[in-house]
Amino acid sequence: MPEAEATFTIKAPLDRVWSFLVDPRRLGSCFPDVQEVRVLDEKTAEWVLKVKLGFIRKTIKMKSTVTDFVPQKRVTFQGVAEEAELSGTMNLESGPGEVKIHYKILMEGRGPLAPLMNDLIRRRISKQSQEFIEILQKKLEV
Amino acid sequence: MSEGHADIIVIGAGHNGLIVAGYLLKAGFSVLVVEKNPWIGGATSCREVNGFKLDWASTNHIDIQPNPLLVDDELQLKAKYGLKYIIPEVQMAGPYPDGTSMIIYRDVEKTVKQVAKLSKKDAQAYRRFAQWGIQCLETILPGMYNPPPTLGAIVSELEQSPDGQELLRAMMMSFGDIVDEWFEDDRVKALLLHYASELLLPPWENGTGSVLFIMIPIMHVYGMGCPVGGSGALAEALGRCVEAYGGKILTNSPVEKVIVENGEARGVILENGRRLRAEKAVVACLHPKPLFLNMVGEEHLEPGFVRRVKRVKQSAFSGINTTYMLNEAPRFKVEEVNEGANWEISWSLEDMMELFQDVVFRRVPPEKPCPNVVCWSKLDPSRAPPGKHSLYAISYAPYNLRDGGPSQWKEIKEEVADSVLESIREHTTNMGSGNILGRLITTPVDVEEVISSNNLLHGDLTGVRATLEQTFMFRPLISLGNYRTPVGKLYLTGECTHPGAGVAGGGRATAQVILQDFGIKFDDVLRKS
Ligand SMILES: Cc1cc2nc3c(=O)[nH]c(=O)nc-3n(C[C@H](O)[C@H](O)[C@H](O)COP(=O)(O)OP(=O)(O)OC[C@H]3O[C@@H](n4cnc5c(N)ncnc54)[C@H](O)[C@@H]3O)c2cc1C
Repeated sequence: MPEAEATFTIKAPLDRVWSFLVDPRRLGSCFPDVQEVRVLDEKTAEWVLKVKLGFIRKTIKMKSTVTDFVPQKRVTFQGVAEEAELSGTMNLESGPGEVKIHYKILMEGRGPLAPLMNDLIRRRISKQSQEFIEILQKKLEV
Repeated sequence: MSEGHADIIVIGAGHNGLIVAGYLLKAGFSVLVVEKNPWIGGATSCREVNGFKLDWASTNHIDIQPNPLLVDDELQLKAKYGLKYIIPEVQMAGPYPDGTSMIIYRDVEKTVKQVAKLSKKDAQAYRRFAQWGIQCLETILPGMYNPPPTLGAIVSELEQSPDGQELLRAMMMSFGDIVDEWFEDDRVKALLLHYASELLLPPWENGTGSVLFIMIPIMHVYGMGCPVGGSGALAEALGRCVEAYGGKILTNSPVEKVIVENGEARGVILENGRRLRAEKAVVACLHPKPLFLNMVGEEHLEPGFVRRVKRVKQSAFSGINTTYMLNEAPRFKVEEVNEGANWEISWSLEDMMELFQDVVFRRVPPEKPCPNVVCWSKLDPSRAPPGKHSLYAISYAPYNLRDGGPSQWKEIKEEVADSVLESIREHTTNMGSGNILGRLITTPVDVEEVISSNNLLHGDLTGVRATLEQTFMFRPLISLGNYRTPVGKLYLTGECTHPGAGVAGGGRATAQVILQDFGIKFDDVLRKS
């Protein structure tokens, strides 16, 4: 499975960071490919992503579920769509005036285009992860 | 691993066989590569003569440049095993008999300026052609070095956008029609047709139209590569990688039979009678005909499958390659093209069409051969003794000669090579006998018998014909498109499988399928050092 892993800090109070990360709509705004996030209930949400692979444009509807969480410490999640699935964990550690986040995400293509999806994910996952960190920092650091 | 025994045996040390071996070794399997010849590399090997490294088979490493094998250096061929490419700014130059020329640079706009010298309208067209081609490439590339999606999935995705529909249309057309639709100047057309016909099909062959939207944009985005040290440098780096991972390569070891027990491949028997046991799988970098009809044997196969193997189609023609040892690099009469090291020699468009007629109808020597002439030693001095040069000149030729069949090649090879040389002489000023220290001729029969026996049958440099009905999931034939075969634990790799002909490194996709069958995630292997 293609994966991305990163550790970074956000200069903001823990409760603000935590409430942002567990709000799918606000979290979704950190990923440029995400068009819409519909919250279904406390633990599940539906994400609409638009991806472009040359002339192929795909709208991916992914259902995400929070599988485990320890408030302000850790959240584990998974996502399933027809074209891909993912799983990940985010660990938070509070420090003076900042929060250290370590996250790991694994994503894999599914269905008839799986090899192509994997290629796309492999090529983009690190860049998207970097973009996510930058946007998150911009949104949360005042 | 003991010498006669490994998890996986790979038949054929062509670059694809070695690539499969590399990834499987990285995954932790023990691998034994068994090669018929005393050298490795198959159609990427070189011959060394008096200090000259002669690319007697392939020379232009194009399709492998976008492969993550190189882009991400997945097997550390560049970082650890000495593989180096020079990507020249002048990718291809076409000197024309009327004294004009056209150069394809890596840079699109510089190329547009070149085309503008011949036709302003074509210059605009070339810009659109290259830009659209780059988008096509973005669409096609993710499918190239990975197992192919089904044709149905490709069609259903592409038909959803107007550009996708255009690409589908191009895939069904001939590259000649595509060139005619886009360009008006015969010289521009001649250069593009010349390049695209390296598929070994004439411009009127349907199901080939997308080739230009791969080959041209690769030159602009990634660039055609000159392997430093000769074409064989790729296989040498792969060989070092295989051995560093603990793999073994047995040269001088032609396989005669694949051992099949209870419907599964269990090893191979060499021509000398030696049996080599494969605990987990056998991978063949071979053409499906000799593999299934001779080495596996029809008794292990369904009659329907045997029929499909027998009907596999070869390309329309082959090529004769002459490599020269020179005192100095060729000097072209059209001064401007001397900036390059890779030339497509074209006469008039009519002459080129006649050449295609000649080779399709198996007549030689053609009146006006149009060789691809390459002098990489201009960029890579390690290919020749100090101050000297090696030259590559490949020109289309039939395998099965109309007069006398393939065996006639022995009689006429010097004459045909001379006619190609004559063509070069007419475009250059210094290719007289005083400049030539020696030459090595590779005929289509040499390719079949010596360089790539059991793979490039009939000297077909593309393995099997690269038309639509033999591409993607249908390459080389229905039911063999995902590298698995009807014999359990027997896999097919090499240029006869997707993504096909050329130095492309398609073995990466085969490795993915084998790993998947053993429950190993390809990405976990990539993460290993
Ligand atoms: C003259 C010529 C010019 C070419 N020019 C270019 C070019 O410029 N650019 C480009 O991209 N492509 C070019 N090609 C095509 C390209 O070289 C091939 O597509 C590619 O190298 C094929 O690689 P492969 O690993 O699939 O198979 P191969 O290289 O054919 O390897 C197959 C191997 O299997 C071995 N083998 C066969 N039978 C047995 C047996 N019974 N037991 C054990 N081993 C066996 C063979 O000896 C060989 O080493 C050219 C080919 C030729 C012949």
